[in-house]
Amino acid sequence: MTTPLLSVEHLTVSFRAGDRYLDLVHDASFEVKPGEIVALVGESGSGKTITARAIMGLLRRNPRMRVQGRISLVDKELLGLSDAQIRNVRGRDIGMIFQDPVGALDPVMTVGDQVREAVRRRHKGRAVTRKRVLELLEQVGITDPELRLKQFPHEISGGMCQRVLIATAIAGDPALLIADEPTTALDVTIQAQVLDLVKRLRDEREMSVLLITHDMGVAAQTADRILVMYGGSLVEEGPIEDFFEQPYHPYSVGLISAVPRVDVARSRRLPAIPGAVPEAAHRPGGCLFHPRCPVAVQSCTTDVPPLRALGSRRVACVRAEDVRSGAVQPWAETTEAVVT
Amino acid sequence: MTQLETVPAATGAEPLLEIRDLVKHYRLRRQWWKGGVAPVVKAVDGVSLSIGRRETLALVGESGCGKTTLGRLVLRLERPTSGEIDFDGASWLDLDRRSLRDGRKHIQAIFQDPLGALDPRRTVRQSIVEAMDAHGLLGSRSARSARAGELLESVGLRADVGKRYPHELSGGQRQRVTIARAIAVNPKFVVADEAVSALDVSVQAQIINLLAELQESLDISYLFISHGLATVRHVADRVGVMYLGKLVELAPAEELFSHPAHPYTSALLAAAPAPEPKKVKKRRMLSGEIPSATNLPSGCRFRTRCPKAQALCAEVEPPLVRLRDGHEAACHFPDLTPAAEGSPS
Repeated sequence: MTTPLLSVEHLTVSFRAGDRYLDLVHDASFEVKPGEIVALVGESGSGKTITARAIMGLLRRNPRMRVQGRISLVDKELLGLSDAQIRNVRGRDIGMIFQDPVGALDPVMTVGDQVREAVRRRHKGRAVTRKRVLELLEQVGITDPELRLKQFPHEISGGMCQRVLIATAIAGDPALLIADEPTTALDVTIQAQVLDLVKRLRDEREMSVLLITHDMGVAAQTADRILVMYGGSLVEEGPIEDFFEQPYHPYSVGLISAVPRVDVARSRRLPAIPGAVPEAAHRPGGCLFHPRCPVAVQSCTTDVPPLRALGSRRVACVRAEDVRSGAVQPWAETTEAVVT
Repeated sequence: MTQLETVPAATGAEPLLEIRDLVKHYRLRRQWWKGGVAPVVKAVDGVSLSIGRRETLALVGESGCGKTTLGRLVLRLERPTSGEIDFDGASWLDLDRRSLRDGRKHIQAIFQDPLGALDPRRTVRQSIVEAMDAHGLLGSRSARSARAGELLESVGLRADVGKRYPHELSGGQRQRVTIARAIAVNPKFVVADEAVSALDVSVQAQIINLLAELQESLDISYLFISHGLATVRHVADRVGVMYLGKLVELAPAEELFSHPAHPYTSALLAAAPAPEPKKVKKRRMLSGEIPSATNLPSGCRFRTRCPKAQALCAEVEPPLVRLRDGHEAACHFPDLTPAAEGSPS
């Protein structure tokens, strides 16, 4: 049992709307171990990005947001830190990269200046800084780093911009990298390169990664462990291979089978989950997924299923044992059509 | 219910849309400080293809490959630099403004961002009725309104959604509305440009299924433009792969996925992440990035990233040639693994 690097306990993030609070994230608890890549997966509105922002302390300036629970990074309790202290955590202990790499860079600053800005917080002296900047650019696989230093973000491609951002994120040698949809805006061939880079950096620096994505394929190809969120709550967690081998939550089952794949022959109908993710203001009672769930029973409409251990996994579904044993097969009549 | 493998035969029959040697070049402003001539972006650089009735042809490729420009040329949102497009046996590019207005109802479009495609100040019903008005369909107001309700039901929404505004709907519902609006004028042909890319996976599948159902019931042909090969596998009868303005491979969908001939197609397939951790491929990753469309490599455009490139590739641009029935590729060294007998069951 290794001690976790990041530990999130009973995290609830609520948004004040009028005189009531809506839970954007509800009672989420999970850990990230040293050197581990954990994928946090969910559809839009699932609360995955809000969770990441809460960890990075990016919600504290928003007076309508209330963050409760505990977020600890090794021995630091992040929610209790002052603004100045959290700024030190960001960049030094936690690095971040986001979805829109071009937008995240300053258009009027050269690539070199932007990386230098991140480096200068730790290194003194022009020569040392410059050497470190070039080193970082090389590490993230940027060709011709000397030339790139002088270029502006609009002169380089989106994939290259993301590499530059990764360089700034790892400049402070963080223990944890939070990557929020880092490849969503990139082409598939470039996506593969960037994901490979993330894995390589993890191996080289023993850095942990919290990878936020909506793409089951990206999670499967990159992560060691997966967390699935639905409507602000964690619904399943497990080691990546076990999870994809047999997901226990009907939502996970549906989500995996709904992913169109290049290696599965065409079927006339793709298995689809009916309906849409409920918005925070209109969440149903009981299990959040029950209106869309093919195997829901009476109690699902009234009781919220807790996230509980089941084998190597944690799952929030009363029917998880039945799914595991094969007694019920959610989406079975539609899934058989896609098997080659 | 399960009508598997009822892929309509596209071969033989007269095509609904035929594109011949279509070219669209954009001339940029001359950069005097760099001297010389104005750079030209060769967005679409000599593409020929045809789409049959009730057929779905998918165009895939990475950003900047020209797939969207091709779609816009078909929609006549832009004029090509040269080339021809025939629609339903007549020249589509030569139509004058009046006949174009009439013709447009046969070719409709669905785009990626449904919120941007709908007027925020109009109700869903008003938006759909407006499409009918624009093409002078149906007489009375009540008839059009009733038709709008029918259309909403045919795309899987309740008729009373018509009273609501776009911001009140979810992304999937909005895309259903733009589809309802597109089919309101009984088109024969729909250009779907990244129509499901912005949607959540669970919703994406719903919309893909809806498009397939509408094709069956309304006899629509689709030009389905997408950056993702995976989505395409579930909708397309044939697939065209584009790279820097050129079609590099064109084949029946199953054939393309099981026996890609062009190294770029293979690379795209390998790069698509499968939701299976055990299949973490030792993928032959493409190195480098797409070259600038203003400064194309000599010879084959793909050679700068191609694992198979040889001296010949830098000298001679490979033409799109037929490898076997319906399967064409533009490569000097195509992968000629023999085609499988029949389709996988």
